[in-house]
Amino acid sequence: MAELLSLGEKAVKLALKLGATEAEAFLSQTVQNLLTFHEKIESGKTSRLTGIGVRAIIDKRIGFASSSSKKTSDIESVARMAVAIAKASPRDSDWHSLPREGGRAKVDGTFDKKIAEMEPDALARRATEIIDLIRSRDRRLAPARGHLTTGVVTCSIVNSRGPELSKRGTYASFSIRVKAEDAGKKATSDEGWQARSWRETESQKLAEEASQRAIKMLDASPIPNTRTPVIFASDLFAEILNVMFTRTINAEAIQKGRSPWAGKIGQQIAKENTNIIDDGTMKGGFMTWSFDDEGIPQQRTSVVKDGILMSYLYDTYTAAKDKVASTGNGSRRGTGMFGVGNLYTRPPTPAPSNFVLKPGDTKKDELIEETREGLYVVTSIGEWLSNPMSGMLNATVTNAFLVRRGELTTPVKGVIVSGSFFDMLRNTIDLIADDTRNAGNFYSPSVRVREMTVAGR
Amino acid sequence: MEDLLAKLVDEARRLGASYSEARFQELVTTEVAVENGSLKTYESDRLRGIGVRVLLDGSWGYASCSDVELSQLKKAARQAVKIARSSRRRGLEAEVGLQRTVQDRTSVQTRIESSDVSPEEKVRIGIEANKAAMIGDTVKNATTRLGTFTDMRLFVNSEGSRIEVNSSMAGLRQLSVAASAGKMERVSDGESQCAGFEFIQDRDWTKFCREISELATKAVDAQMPAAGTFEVVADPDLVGLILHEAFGHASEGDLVTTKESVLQGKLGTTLAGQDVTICDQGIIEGGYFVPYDDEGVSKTQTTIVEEGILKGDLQSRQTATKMRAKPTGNARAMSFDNNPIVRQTNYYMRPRDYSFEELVEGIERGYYIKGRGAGGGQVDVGGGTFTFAVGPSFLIERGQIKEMVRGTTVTGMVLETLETIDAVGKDLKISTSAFGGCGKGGQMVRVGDGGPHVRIRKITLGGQA
Repeated sequence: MAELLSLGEKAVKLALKLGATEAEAFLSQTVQNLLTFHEKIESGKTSRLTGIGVRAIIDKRIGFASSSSKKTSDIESVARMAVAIAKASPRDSDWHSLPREGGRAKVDGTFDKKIAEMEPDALARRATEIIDLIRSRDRRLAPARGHLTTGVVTCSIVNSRGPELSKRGTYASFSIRVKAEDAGKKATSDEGWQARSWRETESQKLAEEASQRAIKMLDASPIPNTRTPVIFASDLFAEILNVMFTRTINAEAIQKGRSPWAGKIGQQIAKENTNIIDDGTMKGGFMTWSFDDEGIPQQRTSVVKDGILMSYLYDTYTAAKDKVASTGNGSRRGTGMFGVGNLYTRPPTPAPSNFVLKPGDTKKDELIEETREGLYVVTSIGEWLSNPMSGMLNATVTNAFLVRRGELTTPVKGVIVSGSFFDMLRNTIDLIADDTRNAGNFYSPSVRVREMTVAGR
Repeated sequence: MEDLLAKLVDEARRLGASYSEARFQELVTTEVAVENGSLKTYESDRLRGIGVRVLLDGSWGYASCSDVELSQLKKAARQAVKIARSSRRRGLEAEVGLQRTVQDRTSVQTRIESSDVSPEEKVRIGIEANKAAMIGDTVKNATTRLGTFTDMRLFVNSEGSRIEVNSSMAGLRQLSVAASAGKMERVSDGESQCAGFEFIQDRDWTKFCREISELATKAVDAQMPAAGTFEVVADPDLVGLILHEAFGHASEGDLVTTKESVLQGKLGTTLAGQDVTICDQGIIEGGYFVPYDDEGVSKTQTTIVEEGILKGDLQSRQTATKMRAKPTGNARAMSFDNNPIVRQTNYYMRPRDYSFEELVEGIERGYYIKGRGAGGGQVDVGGGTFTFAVGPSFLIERGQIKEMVRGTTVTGMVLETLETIDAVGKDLKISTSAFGGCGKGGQMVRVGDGGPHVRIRKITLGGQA
C-alpha cells in the first residue's frame, strides 16, 4: 500500500505543478488466480496487474487518463495526459470539487487470510475434488465447464482535497456446469457462488444440486404459449434486479433523463411489503468496503421502504448537483469501452454497492407448495437483454419446472418468460420468500409473480 | 521487446516446459462520451504487459504481469510452470501438434493515426454528433461515444515464431432515450471499422445520430409484438447475431471436444438447406482484423457449413490435435493477462439469390426482425437454447411490411433454427464494433458477423399475450 500511495503522491504533485487546480490519483493492484476445468483441468493462471487513473481538474475542466504500470516515467505521463485532456475539455458548470469528506466506515468480512495466502497452484486439488464428486455420482453425468477464482485487490487514493486512503480485500468465486447425457439426449445445469471468503463446502453442495437438476433436465422441452404464475429462483431474481436497477437507480441516470425513476421519490413504486436497501457495509457483502472508489465512507441507504421510493444512489459529483451528500456509491467498476475494465481505468460514477431486496416470511418450499399451477424458473439466459427503460423483462428459460398442485413436475426449457417489471413491483409479485442468495453484489430471495406471459411452441 | 520475450520462452523451457510462448501487448484506448450536449468524460487508457504460457507433461500453466521487467517475468515463468505441474494429475494430456514457424509483422492500414488527432478535435466531433441527436422534447437523453484504439500484440514461441500484429479501430455509438405518454424506450447503435481516425472524419455522424433518435421516437409509441412462434425475415445485422449465438459458439472446438456442444459428433451430417454456407474468416471487409490468432496460427477462411453440411469446427492447436484436425487460427485472448481460448473471428453466411421482396412475399403473418438497437445475445451450448434481443422491428402481413413493433427477445433451438432457414438473400453485410464484443469464460474479444437477409420458418418471440 505504501508503494501505491507514494506513486499516487508523485502523480498528484505533478498534475498540480502542470496547472491542475485539484488532482486525484486512484491506484489498484489485482492479483488473481483462475482455474478452468471440465472433466480434466484445462488451465490455471495467475495474473498481477497494477495501474493508476488520474483525475485532473483545471477550473471546472475535467481530464482523466490511466495506465497499467508502476514505473515512475509512466505515472508521470498519465498525469501529463490527464492535464492535457482537462485543458482540451469544455468547462463543466456542475463540477463542484473532488471529495473533501473522505474517511472510513467500519466494515467486516472483507478480507480472508486463507484466500490471500493461497498459492496459485492450490486450486487444482479443489477442482479435482469437484470433478470426482460429479463423476462418481452417476454415469450419465460429467462436469462440462467450471471455474475457481481467488483474488486480492489493493486500492489507494491520493487526493489534493482529501485524506490519503488505502484498502485491501479478497474475493473468490466458483461456477460449475454439469452435463447429463442419456440415450441421445443432452442437458446442462449451472450453479455457482461469488463471495469475499473461501467457501469449500458450498462448492460441493452446489455441484450436487446442479448434478441432480441436469438429470431431470434431460426430458425438458418448450411448453405451448400461456399465461401463468412464475416463480423466480433467488439468484436469478437477484440478476434481474441488477438488470433493472443498476443503470437506472443511480443519480447520474436520473439527472441525465435516462431513468424511469426520475421524479418518483416519495411515490409508491412497489407493493407495501417491498423493501430495498443499498448496504455498502453489510458483513462480508460482495461489494462491502470501508470507503467507495473516491474515498467516501460506504453506508446503508434505504432505496425502497414499504414500497415507497426513498433515495437514488449518489457519488460526490451527482450529490453536489442535487445539493445532497454522497451516499458513498462512487464506483469505478462500470464497464469500459470494451465491456470489461480494471478499476483504475475509469473515473467514478454512482453505482449500487450491495443492493438487497429484503426477504419476506414465506419459506422457499411454501412458495412452491402454495402454487397450484405455474412455472418455477431456476436459470435463464439473456435476461440481461431486458429493457430497464421500458421495464420489459424477457428471460429465456434454460432450466425450469412446471408446478402442479404445489409440486415440481415436468422440466421445461426454450421458452421466453415476459412481463413488465414495473407491474411486477406494483402489483403482481405476490410472495417473497426468505431464502436470500446473491448474484455478485445483488441479493434477493425467491419471488412468485401472479401472472406472466410465456412464449413457447 | 522481442528479445525479452525470447528470454522468457527460454526460461520456461529451462524450467521443464515442453512448449512455451510469450505475448506482449500494448493497447491504447481513447473514449469520448458526450451526453445531452455536454462532454461527460474523456478517458485515455494504456494497458501493457506480458503473459507466458507453458505446456508441461500435457498440462497448461499461465502467468502474466503488468511490470515489464526481466526479474518479474522470470518469476511469472516459474509460477506458470508450478501451475502446470499442479494440474498434471488431472491434466488435459494436451499436445500442440506440429506447426510451421512464422516470422511476420502486419498492420491494419490507416491514413490518420488516432494519437495524432488532438483531444479538442475528438471532443468537437463528439459534441456536434450528439447535438444532432437532440431532436425534440420526446428525446430525453442522447449519449454519444466516440472510441478509438490501437492494439499491438507481439508473439514469440519456443518453436521460433515471431509475429507482430497491429490492429486499430475507430467507431461511434449513439444511445437515444425517448419518452411518450408515460412510456420510455431506448435505442442504441454504432458503426466501427478497423481503420484510423479517417473513418471518423470521413462520415456524417450527425445524420447517423439523428436517425437513432428518430427511431427511438417512433419505437416508444409502437406496440410489443405478439408472443409466440412465427415465420420471420431477419436483416444482415441480426443474421450475424443469430449465427454467432445459435451456431458459432456450438462450433467452437473446445466445446466440441468436451462434448458439451450439441454439434459434437455431427461432422458430415446435413444440418440445413442447400442454400446455407457459413464461414469464419480472419480478414474480411467490414469485420475485425485477425491475421493470426494468439497462438501464432494464421487465420484464413474456415468453412463451417457448406451447402447445409457440417464441414468443420473452429480449432486451437490443442483442440485440433485432439480432434485430428488442423488448427484454424481461432485461439484468441482478450489481453496479455488471459489464456487464449477458442473463439470466433468474423462469422458469416454467404449470400444466395433471393431479393428482399421475394423473402417477404410468402409470409402470411410474421415479423421482419432487425438488428439496429438489438444489444446482443447468449446461448446455452449444451441445452441447445439460444436467445438474442432484436431492435425495433416490423409486422409482416400477407407478404407486406406493416407497422413497427418494439424491440423484444427472441429464442430458438440451435439445430432446429438452422434447419428452418428456407431462403437466403443476395445481399451481404458484415460488421464489427469497437465498443464491445463477445464474452466467453470471462474474456471479451472483438468479433465480426453478418450475412444476407434470410427467411426463418420458425422462431419464438417474447411479447404480449
